[in-house]
Amino acid sequence: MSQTENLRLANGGRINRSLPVSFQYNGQTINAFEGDSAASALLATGEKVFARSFKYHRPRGILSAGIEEPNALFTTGSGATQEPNVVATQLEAFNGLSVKTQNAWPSVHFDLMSVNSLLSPVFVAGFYYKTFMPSLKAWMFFEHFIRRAAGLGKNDNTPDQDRYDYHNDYVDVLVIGSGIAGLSAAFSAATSGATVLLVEQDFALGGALLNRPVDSDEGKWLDQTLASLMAMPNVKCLTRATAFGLYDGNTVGVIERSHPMAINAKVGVPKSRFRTVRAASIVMAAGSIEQPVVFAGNDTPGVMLSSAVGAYVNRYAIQIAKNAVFTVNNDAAYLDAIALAKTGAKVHIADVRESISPTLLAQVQDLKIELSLSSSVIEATGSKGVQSCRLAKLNSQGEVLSMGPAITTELIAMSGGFTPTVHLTSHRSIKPVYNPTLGCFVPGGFDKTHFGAGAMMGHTNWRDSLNSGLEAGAKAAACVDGLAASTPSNTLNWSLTDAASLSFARAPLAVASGQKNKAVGKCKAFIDFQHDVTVDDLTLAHREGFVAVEHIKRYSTLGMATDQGKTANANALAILAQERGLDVSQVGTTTFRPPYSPASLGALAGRAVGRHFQPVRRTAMHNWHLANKGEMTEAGYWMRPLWFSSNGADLSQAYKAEMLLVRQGVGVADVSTLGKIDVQGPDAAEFLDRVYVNGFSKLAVGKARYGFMLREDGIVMDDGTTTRLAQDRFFMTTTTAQAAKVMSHLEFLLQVVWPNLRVTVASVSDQWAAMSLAGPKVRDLLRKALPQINFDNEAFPFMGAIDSVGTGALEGMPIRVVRLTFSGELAYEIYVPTHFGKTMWSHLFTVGAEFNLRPYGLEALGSLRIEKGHVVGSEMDGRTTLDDLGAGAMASKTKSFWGDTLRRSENLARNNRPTLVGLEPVNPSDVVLNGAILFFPDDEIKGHGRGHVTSNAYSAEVGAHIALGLVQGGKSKIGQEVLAVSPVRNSTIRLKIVDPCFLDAAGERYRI
Amino acid sequence: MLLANATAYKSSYSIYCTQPSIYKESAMNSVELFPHQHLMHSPFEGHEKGEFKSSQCQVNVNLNAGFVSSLTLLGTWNGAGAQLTQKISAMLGLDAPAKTGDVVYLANPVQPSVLMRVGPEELWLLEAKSGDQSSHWRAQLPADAATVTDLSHARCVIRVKSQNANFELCQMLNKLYALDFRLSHFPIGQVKHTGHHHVPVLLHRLSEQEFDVYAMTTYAYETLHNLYDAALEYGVNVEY
Repeated sequence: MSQTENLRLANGGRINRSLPVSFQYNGQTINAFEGDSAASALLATGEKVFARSFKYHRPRGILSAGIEEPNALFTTGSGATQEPNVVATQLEAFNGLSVKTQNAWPSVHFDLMSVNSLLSPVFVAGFYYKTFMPSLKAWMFFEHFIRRAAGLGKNDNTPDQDRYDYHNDYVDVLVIGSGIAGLSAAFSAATSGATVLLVEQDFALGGALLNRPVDSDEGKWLDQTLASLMAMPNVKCLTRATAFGLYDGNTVGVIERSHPMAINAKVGVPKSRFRTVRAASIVMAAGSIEQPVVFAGNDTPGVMLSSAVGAYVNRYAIQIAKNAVFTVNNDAAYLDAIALAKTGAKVHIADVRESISPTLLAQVQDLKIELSLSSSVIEATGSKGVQSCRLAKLNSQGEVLSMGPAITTELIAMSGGFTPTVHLTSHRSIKPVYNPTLGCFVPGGFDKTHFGAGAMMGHTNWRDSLNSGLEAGAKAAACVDGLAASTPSNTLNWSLTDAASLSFARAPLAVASGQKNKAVGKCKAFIDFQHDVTVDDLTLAHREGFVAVEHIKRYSTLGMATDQGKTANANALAILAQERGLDVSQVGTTTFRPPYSPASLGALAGRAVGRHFQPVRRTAMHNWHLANKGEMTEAGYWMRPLWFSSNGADLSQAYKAEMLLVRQGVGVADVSTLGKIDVQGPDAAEFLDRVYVNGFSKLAVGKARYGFMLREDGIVMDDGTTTRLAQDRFFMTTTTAQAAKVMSHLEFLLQVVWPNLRVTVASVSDQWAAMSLAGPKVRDLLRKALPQINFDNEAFPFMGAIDSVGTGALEGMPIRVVRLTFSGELAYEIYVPTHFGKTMWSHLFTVGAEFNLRPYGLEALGSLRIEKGHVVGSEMDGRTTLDDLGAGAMASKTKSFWGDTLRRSENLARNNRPTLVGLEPVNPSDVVLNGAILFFPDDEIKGHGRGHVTSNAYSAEVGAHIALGLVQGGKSKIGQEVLAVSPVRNSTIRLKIVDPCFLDAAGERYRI
Repeated sequence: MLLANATAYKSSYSIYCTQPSIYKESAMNSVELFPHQHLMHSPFEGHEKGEFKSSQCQVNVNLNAGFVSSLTLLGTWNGAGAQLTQKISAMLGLDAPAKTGDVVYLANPVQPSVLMRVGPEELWLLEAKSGDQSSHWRAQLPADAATVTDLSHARCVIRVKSQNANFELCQMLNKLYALDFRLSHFPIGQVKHTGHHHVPVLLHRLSEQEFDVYAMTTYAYETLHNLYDAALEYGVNVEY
């Protein structure tokens, strides 16, 4: 296309003529003004074709001026910022905007895919079901191709470079919609003292008032009211903000788009914000949506809703056509026709009604508008633009009495009445109800603190809408704690003019429907423009037995896609009612669910993406690890060094080297991630006796003990070491993975099960940095590093604990040392307050240089324990018992403990449960695979087998890969072979069952 | 002496923070805040710092992150909250806060402190004097009435302040925290628990446009980063 025409009027409109902007449309520059939409700017150039239809690829123009637009969907941006299916009528024009048409090749003016139109006789309702589902197998074949062909617009797979954000809002009164009812509700609530948030989906406030001339009474009222609201400190207005869903607890989901010129990810300005608004009360003033008239060729470019004509003339100052035919059934459309006629256009109105008011008639006659009563357009002709139409005389039932002559026209404006926007109330599962007087569905009710106002409630004129807004605002404010009920403020009322008193009378929806006219027209009469659903499709679906509206929707695809049938459902219901011989109220509606209008996945994800997808938890030594070649991995939210590349070229080399380091020298691991819980109180020991399977009440001060705790059902929950610091104080450690779970478990037990115990628990995981030093040289190292502590075996025995204060370089630093081992080597855990962690860690390396102290990572930590046969989460996997893990002997027989009863249940005590064993490959070069299923040699390789491999590692001590596993019979099978089958890797290897402790079963290494 | 409100508290002795600019506000020059500071490492090390201007070239938010000098958790068991309140009140010679969220400020010239009711059976005692004070308080409180836990290293504090009188700080905080920040719901001087991404924080309102955010130390870097990122579009200055 080229910018050949300029239909912009010299004056008027709400565009800012002092701020010209330009944007790219299919690579061509389009000039516009601030305040223009992409649609208005393009219409001002005389362009008519903006899209191709979904199924038949028919040329489509712009139908509306608002969110309901079914045709003009553009793709904005490119590459990483590309976004398909943006409604042109809601897209504001700005410098830098780049849009392109979609769903057509090579262009919307010449689309090769329009060949589909020739196949339209077979593309009927239920086409997919009838054609591609002869069998499940056939559908699975066709589905691939259908899915490739389906869809409107294409996304780009490169990562989105835009930023999206999230907001929580708390207000007294939320007002949805900024038309006359919304503004008056906001004013009323605010003057009552409430804080008010008003959200408007358009980029300008005013709703339908924007479509009235700026210098009209309505236009002036709008400007004055906005000025009043903006001056009120308790009112906040958001434009470009769509309330897309209404949820429990007065929670409303709002997506607010940023001003397009402000979007800048680099400085933190998001493309949109997902606002969760929590309000004490809500006023819904969502307005209404004009419905099309159904006639043959009603999808031809140049056929437009009447209200859109009013918008393009009055708001955007465009003489949308030089001649036009309006086909209407209500007074409101006359405002639009009059507006267009005042631009000098030749206008003809066809009204299905037999008469109109004398006032209206006088205005029509003054402007020399031709009027045909009891008439309607029944056919439009033209392919890429309307060229002419035919009128017909109708009787009161909508039946054609006689055909009129063809009328040359470039625009057909249609108004089949209005349907209130009831979506939000429907989100609360409140079904809309049919109002036969108005001929439309209205909200079926409201939650206690919700109120409706304006056209959404079926109010048919400005005065009623204004008053309903004032009343709703006052009621909403009265719901707010501390605010008394007040009389609605009437300071916004204005002297109503003739224009403002026009009725929005809605004739019964079916009167002008194509159902009765379709026999006359040769072209298709469309119900759903976006999904190419015609009158014939609906009647066919009905003939084929689909009578329920929900079934019709799914069979014909009516009301689906991005517009969700905003301009389709009402006519479809009327036609369905006629087919079934019912009243519309008996047909009902489909269910409106969130979102009201499309919400991008980016907007819904908000800031919880990429770096902010989940929180990162860091130990005090985090930066040291990064600076010293720690290869970090996620462990829950923690970041932990998996291995250190200073110890080997890759993970395999490094962890083996790190294991040798501990077995032969000394290594240190960051174990700050262990859960740490402070257990205090006079009954603390009693509490631990009940929590752990083994006893703690007799544990001496300064000693630590290893223990298991069970779930209520007898399954092992966690293990760990607890140190007694004083008679009434214990320092409990848990596994990293179960830290939070254990903490909440302990709180549950204290608050619910044993509320009489005088015990408190407090998480001190963040208070203490922890490091585990292990290896034959560790004692020598620590004697130098912490000279104030006597590390002799007698003075500081295994499972001993000492609280100390640092000296020398560590002067004043609190230090806790616990002698215990995870690796099986002589080992100590050092705890210091977190901010001292890095200093202590560095100190150890300074002193430890002569001992060749090096760090080891998570992989070596886990492998060392496998050699020793210690269990972790791989074995304590939520299915295993104490006996399964070979720890049954730890359970006290002299006290009861949590989980003790059910651990003896029949299922958990049965003999053939898989229990812990060690596994070695028969062929030492074989690698045991985690998760491999274990079978006895004579078993059929099928099902769950006899157990599975839980952990594996290479053991230099054994000289082969080793594993821990759970197998039926457990240690009684030591010496026997099993087959380890991995269906995932398609491998089977032979293993020998051995004791799970691969080294130093007597514990001589760590007790010295 | 009991300070009447948060403003007095703020001007009397700010926080217990290593950040030099916060030191300047402190009237407690005689108190040795961090005798072992040379041994301490900030969890914020490596984070962006300095000014980051908005697209309007403004800096509306100031983030000042640092250590807590001394934080002691005073707790008790089920049903003993009122008794704990009595004991603490008697011990300190004041009316300890009885309702969760309430705060009492002390302006003891030697050891100023702030007492926060953070739960029905839990109080936080923040003191300017650094280090583990738990032994001291354990000796003061009977063991059959209270437990005492040192959390001085378990929390860090990030002071979030509006740099511009016209800037609504809460719009930035509401990006992260689902809290009603209106003064009627979150008065000056009160504390509230909330969280982001299931990571808990405690917010202490110092003025209409100023909060202390107490973050778990191992999440402190992350919390600062989230605050910085949320403030970026408004312009932010980061100090630690």
